[in-house]
Amino acid sequence: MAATVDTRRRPRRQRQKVSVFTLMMTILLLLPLVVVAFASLNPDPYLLFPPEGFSLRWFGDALAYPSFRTSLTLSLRIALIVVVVGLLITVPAAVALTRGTGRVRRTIQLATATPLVTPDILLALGLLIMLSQLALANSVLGLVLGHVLVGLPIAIQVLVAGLAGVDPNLEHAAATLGASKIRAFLTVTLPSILPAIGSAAVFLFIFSFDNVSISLFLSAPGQTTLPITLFQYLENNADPTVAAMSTILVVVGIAAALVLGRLGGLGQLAGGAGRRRR
Amino acid sequence: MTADYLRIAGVTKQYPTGGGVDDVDLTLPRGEMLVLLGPSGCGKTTLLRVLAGLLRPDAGRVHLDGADLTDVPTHRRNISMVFQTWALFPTMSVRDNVAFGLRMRRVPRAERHRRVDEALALVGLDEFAGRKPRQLSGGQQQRVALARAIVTRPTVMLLDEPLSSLDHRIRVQLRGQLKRLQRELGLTGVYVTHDHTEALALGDRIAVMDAGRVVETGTPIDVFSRPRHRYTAEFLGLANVIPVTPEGRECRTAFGDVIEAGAPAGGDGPVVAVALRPDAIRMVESADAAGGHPGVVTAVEFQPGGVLHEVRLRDGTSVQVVAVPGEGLPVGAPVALSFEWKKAVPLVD
Amino acid sequence: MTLTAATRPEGRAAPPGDGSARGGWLLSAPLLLFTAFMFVYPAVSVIRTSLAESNALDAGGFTLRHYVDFFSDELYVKALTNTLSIAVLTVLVTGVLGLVYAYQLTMRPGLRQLQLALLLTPLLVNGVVRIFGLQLGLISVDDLLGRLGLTDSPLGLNYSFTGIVIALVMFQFPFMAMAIYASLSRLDTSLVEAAQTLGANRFSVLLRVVFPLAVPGLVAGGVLTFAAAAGTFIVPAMMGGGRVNTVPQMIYTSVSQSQLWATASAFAVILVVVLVIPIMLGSHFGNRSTAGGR
Repeated sequence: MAATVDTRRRPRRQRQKVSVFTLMMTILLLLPLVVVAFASLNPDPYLLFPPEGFSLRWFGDALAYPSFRTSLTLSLRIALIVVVVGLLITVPAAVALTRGTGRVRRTIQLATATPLVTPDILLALGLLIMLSQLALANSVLGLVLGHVLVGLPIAIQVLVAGLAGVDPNLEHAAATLGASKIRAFLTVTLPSILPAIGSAAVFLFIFSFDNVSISLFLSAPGQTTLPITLFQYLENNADPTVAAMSTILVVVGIAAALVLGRLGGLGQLAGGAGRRRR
Repeated sequence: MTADYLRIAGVTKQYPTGGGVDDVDLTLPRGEMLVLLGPSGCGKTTLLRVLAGLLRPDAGRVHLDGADLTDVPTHRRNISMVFQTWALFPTMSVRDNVAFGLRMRRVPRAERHRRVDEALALVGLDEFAGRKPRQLSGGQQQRVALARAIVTRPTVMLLDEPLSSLDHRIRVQLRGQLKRLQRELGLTGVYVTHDHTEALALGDRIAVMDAGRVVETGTPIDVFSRPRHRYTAEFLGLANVIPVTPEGRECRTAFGDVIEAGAPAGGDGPVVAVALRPDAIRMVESADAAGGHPGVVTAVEFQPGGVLHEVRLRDGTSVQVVAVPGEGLPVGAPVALSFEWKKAVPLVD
Repeated sequence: MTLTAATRPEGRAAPPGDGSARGGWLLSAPLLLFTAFMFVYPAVSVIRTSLAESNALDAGGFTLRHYVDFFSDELYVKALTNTLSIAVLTVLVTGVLGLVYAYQLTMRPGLRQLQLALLLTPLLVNGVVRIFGLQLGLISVDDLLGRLGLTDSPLGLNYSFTGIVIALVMFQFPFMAMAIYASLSRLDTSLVEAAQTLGANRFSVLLRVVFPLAVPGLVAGGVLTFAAAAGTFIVPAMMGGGRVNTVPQMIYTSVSQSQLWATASAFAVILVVVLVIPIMLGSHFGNRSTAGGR
């Protein structure tokens, strides 16, 4: 909802005034990202901010570093699987939520809301216990399932928002023209919600790729996802190499934000999704 | 039986929150347009959706061209529907929109193209075939919806207030076009509206509805100039509805006149009111009430056809009287009214 | 999340789900089964494990020993108080900052879209990376403070209680700000002007007109911030430097290092119970104030 500030009666130069405070806060929040990026550019192998020179060698080193490399591959693999599994689960559920009866709707809302308000730690621990008892604890499957769980709420929210913008009469029209329910959905509704599906996919990807709490508990010792690898690395040393790897992750995050900006899903992040798992 | 090309028998559909339709019976011959006329909430759209198969009735059957369609799902009835919001598929071009029904019926490509072109030409949109719906104006989108609905040669065409969101001038234009198309193509149609000018212009048969029931049906002439029910007359608002009490074979108005009005054909009950058009009342400016019932002008409205006066009689009854342009009287003027009761139409409840 | 049928003057559109209730269950089945399996079952497992006799993974039995142990160990209780005070402080700081931010953004909407986009972008970047960047930044700040003689501790902000709160504020601020901003969207300059014509000075306006409107957002944001701050592991782990102990950290170490399943589960349950009370209170007050509002 846009603020309904009536700016018409203000003198022209006062209209659309920019608040210094908000700008500063926004910049402040972005600073850590900038700092990391700059720190990765220092030619000498120690961290300095501001850097004393300019060198891109650490990026090469970061990508060549074995544990970073394997973790990156693992994180990417998992994230992609999470997108597929996540969409397969959420798209039908979003349709049910938009078109279903009251009881269906309420059950789905309950199912998506409860993991959201549960602290990370309980979720992660619970998953670990359950998966351990099933001997699935340190597997990729466990990680995928855990990441899907944390991405579900926002994916559903984005999809529901997208579906809400589709005139239900469209499917009725298609039915009168001879399309069965499934065909009507595939030929008429699905193309209209492609941007929402795209946004949901990006969210599922990034929430999996960035996830810390679930990965922390469910990763096998030698096979950690990238965030965990970085965490463990940073416990012992901090150098431009890890800064470079981190910068790459910053770029990934910004890229995701840009894509979401185009697809229209960025606003969903804080509007109701509330809390994100780290 | 051609008279029963479309037959709705005892259809009932109730909602837990109220509304819906109750035991509706209607028939329609082939090639005619039935208009369901009534205010919001009277059940006309519900009935239309039952015909479309988008709703399943609680009771009753729907027959089309001899076949019982009640249990047939929407996409297998050979009907088409034009929606109030037009429901054009936004990601498809105009051409693809119109072709959709043909694609679903697996019509081969060459024939499909030919029929789509034909339909677009009929509605005058051939140049817009490649555009997307959002690039068209409201009236143009409506014509696309129409083309999409006729190209499949449906058994019956259903229209749900398709013109209500358009400008008056476009509405009149499209109305004419729609009627022409329906006649030329011999289409059978059911049209839902709350606007009685539309009903008059488009319908071969009109069904006036109220609170889920059909109050009366008839040709436009019947319904408009000789309504049989008080509700119809009041809803159409074209004439004064004056309450009367029956006295044997006559009726007495509240202000004392006695009318010889027989019960309307069909005899559904006692006469409770009569309808009298504003031009069937003589009004004379008169301070002493000579020559008629005394009253006072309470409102004046200038209209294209004349000057409409609202006059309140001594007993409180208010009637509308129309005078020739130029002969209007001011508000507050004392007048005497005399009524041409011969032109009154008796109304039952 | 509602069905937005095109508005029709006629009573209603066909009610959703007419005849498709079964279809609805079918479509939502994957989600519901998934949640049942991945959330309900694990939650139950945690509770069961916390009541187990021994600390082995598959132990059975029923005892409240682990809970009792928790409250009788000073270290554990300290961790709990740490966790709660961190959470409360975070809520307070983000609340104040978020309020000012949301108000300013409402009154001066210049570059609004851009600012909101920039505000939300960091949320898509990895948490570990963000903390790393914060630490690098804080080193410079510490350096500066040291040179100014304002602090003598060599480790400074980076490995301290304060550092943890700062990091948490960084993480939660966007959510709080957006929640309050959404609430304040009902604010209209005409409301402010009306109050002024009735004699309210600027401070009164803020207190009596603006603040009440912001409360629902504050409460909603506060509840979520509290839960997030109390339940996070990574922030105290990285920013605490081992000097500040919190319940999530204890859960982690008891599982990863010591394999004390029952103990860890008990910690988790205690944490949830302690969180649930403020969350329910918050939701209750939140509902009350929205009911009174517009």
